[in-house]
Amino acid sequence: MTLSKNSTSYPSIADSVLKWLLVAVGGLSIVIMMLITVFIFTESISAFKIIDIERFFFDERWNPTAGEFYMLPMLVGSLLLMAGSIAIAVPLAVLVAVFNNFYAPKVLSVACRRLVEILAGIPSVVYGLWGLVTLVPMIIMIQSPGTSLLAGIIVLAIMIFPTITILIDSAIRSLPKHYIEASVAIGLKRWSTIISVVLPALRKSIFAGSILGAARAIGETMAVLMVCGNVVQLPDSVFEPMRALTSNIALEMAYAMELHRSSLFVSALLLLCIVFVMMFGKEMILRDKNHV
Amino acid sequence: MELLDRRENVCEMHAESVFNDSSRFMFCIDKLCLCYGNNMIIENVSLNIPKNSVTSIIGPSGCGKTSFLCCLNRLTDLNESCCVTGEVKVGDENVYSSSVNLTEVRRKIGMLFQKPNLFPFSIWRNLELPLKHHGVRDKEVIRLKIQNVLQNVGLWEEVESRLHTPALSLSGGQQQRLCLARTLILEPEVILMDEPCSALDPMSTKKIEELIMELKGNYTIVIVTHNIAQAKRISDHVAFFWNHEGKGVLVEQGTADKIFNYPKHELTAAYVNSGA
Repeated sequence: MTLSKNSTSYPSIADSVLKWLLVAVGGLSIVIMMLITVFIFTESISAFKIIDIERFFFDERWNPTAGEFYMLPMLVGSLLLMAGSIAIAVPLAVLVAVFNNFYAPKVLSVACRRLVEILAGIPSVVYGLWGLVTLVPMIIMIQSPGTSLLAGIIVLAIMIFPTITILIDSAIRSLPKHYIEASVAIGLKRWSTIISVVLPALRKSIFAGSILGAARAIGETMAVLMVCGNVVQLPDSVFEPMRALTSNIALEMAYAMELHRSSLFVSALLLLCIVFVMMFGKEMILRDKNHV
Repeated sequence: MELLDRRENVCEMHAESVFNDSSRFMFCIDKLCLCYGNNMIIENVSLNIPKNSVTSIIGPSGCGKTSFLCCLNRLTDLNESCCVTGEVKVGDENVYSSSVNLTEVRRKIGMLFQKPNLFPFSIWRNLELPLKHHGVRDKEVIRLKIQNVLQNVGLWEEVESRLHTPALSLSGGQQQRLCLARTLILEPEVILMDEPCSALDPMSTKKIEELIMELKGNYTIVIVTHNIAQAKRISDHVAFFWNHEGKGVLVEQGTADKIFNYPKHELTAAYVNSGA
């Protein structure tokens, strides 16, 4: 049921107060977002005035103090981290959510949900520390130097997996029961119901969860900085070190001046653009009612 | 109390007269009881449902009609706290036997629900899905079956040009007919209907009733309805349920003519005349 703007026939003071409070809060969040965007954009402009955009992609190296601004490896690195972590975390999250809802005994599913909620709340620096002291030595056993794209992907996957699991789990729980009834009534077994009805019916929720996870992955700084090695290069394999856009800002902001500082804001602008494109794409796809 | 005690005699008399010819019946239900946890919902229902006819299950709300219907295709399995005792035989097979092939039982016994419950996929996918899961892979066979079944429920002309659009964009009546098509496409022997018209407008209701009348020659239809006028229009046989101390019991069963014109039990008479 929805309450339309005109559903009450007489004005209420409490209603008016609530309305203006909501307008103020909503407006404030939009203004803050706009101000941050404008700030990052204006800070980047001085870099764009002096440096041609193509130099960010075709310079020899990243050495801003020497006038070299090769940002492509960091952009690619961030995208690889995001794609890799999503490729691991989403299937894992779907499996855990399906297990919770269709296979686990009630006690186990409650315990599993609480555990996932706790995982979602652990600070990223803790994941980073775990990655550095546990995961990286394990990767070294396969190939040195250990701090690598693979370490970043695994740590990020573990970090974003709880958020995606919570979203998919709650989507499964809110799935109308009549889909399951209809599926069972036409003779589908539990596994067939999950594969043929539940997951396809939830594809938009799974997609939305994946995008939110991806946005967190591309924005993650500390854990990535701790386990990825931070060498500015296009990695040839998952065992090679790399640097993400976020790590680049965190590592260099303390001493960056003038053009170097502006180029870091260009990194931030790139991140903002990626997240904006992902969210816009998500909205477009979710809004498409004819998509069946 | 006294009134309800008499139901035993009424049902026994009927059961004796019909048990002699079991081949006439699609379902032979014996001493069926259904509990949710410690709550008994249906108590000791014995009923034979004739083949290729419409049997209406009538009675007030809360007397276990829908639960009874769900016992017939074991949809009760969806509720873990649900416990069923007694026997539901389809032909020679007890639906509750441990060796029963449930997929086949549910193919043979289709079900139409109170509200249209299409999957959030295209019209085509809604009909293709059950076929594929029952082993039909040939694309041409699938296409022909979909076309036939849509023609049978009178939807073909309405949806022919938009088979790949979302099924949920259809009107309520069209959705319910598509649900019927989804049931029919598996070529069942029985169609269980749980108040299939309760969410529909009179025109859509009329269409569903016309379909029931067309289908009853080839299918056994068991329909739960609150609408006594509807039960009078479409039924060949009627079973009247009542809520007795929180449990659903079968008070009287028989041909539609007998139940509506010559009810033996006072409760049946009072109930069927309340809708006159």
